[in-house]
Amino acid sequence: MTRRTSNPDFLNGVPELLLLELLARRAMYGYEIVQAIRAATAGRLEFGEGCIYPVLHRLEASGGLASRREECGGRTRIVYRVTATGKKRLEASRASWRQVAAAIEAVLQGGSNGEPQIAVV
Amino acid sequence: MESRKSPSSDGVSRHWHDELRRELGRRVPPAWRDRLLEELADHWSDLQEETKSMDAASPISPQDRLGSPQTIAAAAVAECRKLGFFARRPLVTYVAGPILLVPVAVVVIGFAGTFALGLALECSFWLFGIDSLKLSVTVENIIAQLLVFPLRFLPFAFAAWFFCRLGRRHGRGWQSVLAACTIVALYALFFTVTLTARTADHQGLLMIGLGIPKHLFNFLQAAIPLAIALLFLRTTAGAARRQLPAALSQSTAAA
Repeated sequence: MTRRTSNPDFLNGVPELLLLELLARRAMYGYEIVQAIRAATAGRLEFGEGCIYPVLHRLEASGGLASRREECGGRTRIVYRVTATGKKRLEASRASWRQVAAAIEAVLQGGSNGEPQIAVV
Repeated sequence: MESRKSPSSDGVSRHWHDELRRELGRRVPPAWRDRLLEELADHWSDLQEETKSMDAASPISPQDRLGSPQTIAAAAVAECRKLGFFARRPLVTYVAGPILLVPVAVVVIGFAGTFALGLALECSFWLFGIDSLKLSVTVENIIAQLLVFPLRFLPFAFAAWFFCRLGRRHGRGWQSVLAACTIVALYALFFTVTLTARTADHQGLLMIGLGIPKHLFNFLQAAIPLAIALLFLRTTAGAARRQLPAALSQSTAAA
């Protein structure tokens, strides 16, 4: 039995994009969001599941998400959805992420001087 | 890698939550802390149900899936720090904020609102072909009273609603919301509007300012923001009280 720790990469910026993207598709509560992340990434991202809540709370406090309590199977869940502000932020995050990914890909492919940065053994 | 063994899931759940509560301490706003604990307790019970539905070899315990209390507390503190200036400075927001906002609200909502209503009234007179200059003085005075009446309540109701909403967004406790709404209520208590009716010989007179409360209206004005605050606090506190023990008991019942 291994003890999971939070993946630092997960904590350093990706969560906002992931959460906004998934919640833009449909409203979900915390556990559902974690399941959705697992399904969407085929379980490749490992993170302490509890760490999504502070991010959700910050996104809600800054107006990107809205929450409401909903009865589900006899339990009351806090369900999150993306607001209009959140949608705008998601667009910006997507664009920014694509730029970063393209820049890193360019470096991996050899950069502007055409020299490969990563040696293939 | 270490593995966790515990006497019972119930004990582990309680211990884990207590440890997280200790770690969070006063480093995050109380409403954020309570909400986080409530959602984690709910998540914990979901994980237990998931584990039960899988085969016995299912390896990862809820506490391992959720992360250590230290990690979650550190994440909560870090996310809290990313919030803006006003969310992190309750004294500025909930004490200085209402002192400055209420006069602005009176000017913007009161005067602009009254002007807009008057304009709408003039437009409707024009649409229905009523000559406003031929209205009797009594009718004019009644209209003026109706236009001025919302000025007594709307700015203060808006200010109270605004700080309640802000308090919820910032995850502040009842103290911040009540402090802000009490300041708004004090303004409302001393806020006086005197409208002297127009007569055939004299123009009407509207006086607005702060003064010693002499009329029942002043106390009604003050009651509005306080009622909004109490209603808001009752709704939020009631929901939190119901949810946290329920979530914890669901978590332990599922064990």
